[in-house]
Amino acid sequence: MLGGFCPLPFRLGSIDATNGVNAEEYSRMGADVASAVVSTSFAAVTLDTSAPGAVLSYNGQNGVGLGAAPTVAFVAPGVVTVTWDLSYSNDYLNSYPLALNSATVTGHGAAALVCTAEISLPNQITVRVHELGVGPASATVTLRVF
Amino acid sequence: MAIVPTGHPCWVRANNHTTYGGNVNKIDYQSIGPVNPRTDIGASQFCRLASDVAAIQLTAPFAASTYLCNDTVPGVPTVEDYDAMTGAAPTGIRNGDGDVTFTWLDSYADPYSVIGEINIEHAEATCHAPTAAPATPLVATVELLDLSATGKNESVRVRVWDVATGLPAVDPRITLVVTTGVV
Repeated sequence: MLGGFCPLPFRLGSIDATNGVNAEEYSRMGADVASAVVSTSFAAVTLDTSAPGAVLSYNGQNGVGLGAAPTVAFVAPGVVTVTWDLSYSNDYLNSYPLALNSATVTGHGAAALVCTAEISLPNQITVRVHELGVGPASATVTLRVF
Repeated sequence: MAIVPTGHPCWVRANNHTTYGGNVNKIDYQSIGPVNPRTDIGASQFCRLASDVAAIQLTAPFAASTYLCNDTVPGVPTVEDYDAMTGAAPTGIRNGDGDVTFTWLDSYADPYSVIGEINIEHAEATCHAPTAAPATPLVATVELLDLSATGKNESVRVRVWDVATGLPAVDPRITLVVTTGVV
């Protein structure tokens, strides 16, 4: 048999574009997925930094929605920490520690907000929000971590 | 007859590894793995692919766009670059200096004509170097909007300020990244 409709192992080869997958096609997919795995963010989280702090929406490789979201803790006006679990398991129950190494943050709303992200622990980001000419501010922000 | 893929378009965030054919109990047929690694893909390899794709598609941004505000000569923003999961660049309007709103369609089709709705839940804006002297730092904020009152955000307003003066920036260049959530 040729290609995609035979049982696994999946043998590469195709008669035409509607029957099977050839080595070139599968290699392209493998290369593209491998590239995307490296640069794709672990999570995007939009949160409210007002006391007590809250996640508003969450997209993570560990799941989508509030049930999968990290914990937000209010530290001081304009300062919150966002903490994920120390490790996560994938769909096949392989567990890996979380090691955050990049983060970006953007403020929401009509005020001029300067936001910073600090990797305070391998599984924690400290977000600070400052309104220009005012000082520390409570606001909605979007945080992306890698 | 055209095939209809399982699941939903990526930007709906509803797929998991089983959507791609993964299964925690998947095995090679008759327990015989790849005979030749140059021609065969085994069950464990395929499940790794399904699991990684499932993870990636949850956080991948829907679109990244770099645009230039047109404030000195007031006009709609110029989209200089647009990379998205699907579709053409959104419609942009100018609200004021350094202040624009982009609106996407309510839904888009994937390459197999499967329709998925849009619900923007995250947005990030980063300022580029100012286009005119003096080169003062700029800061941008975003606002998610449901202008069509469908209960789903399809628009993002971006405002940009000059940090030194606190006034709206003129003619800033911005990169905007939007990520959709569950519909």
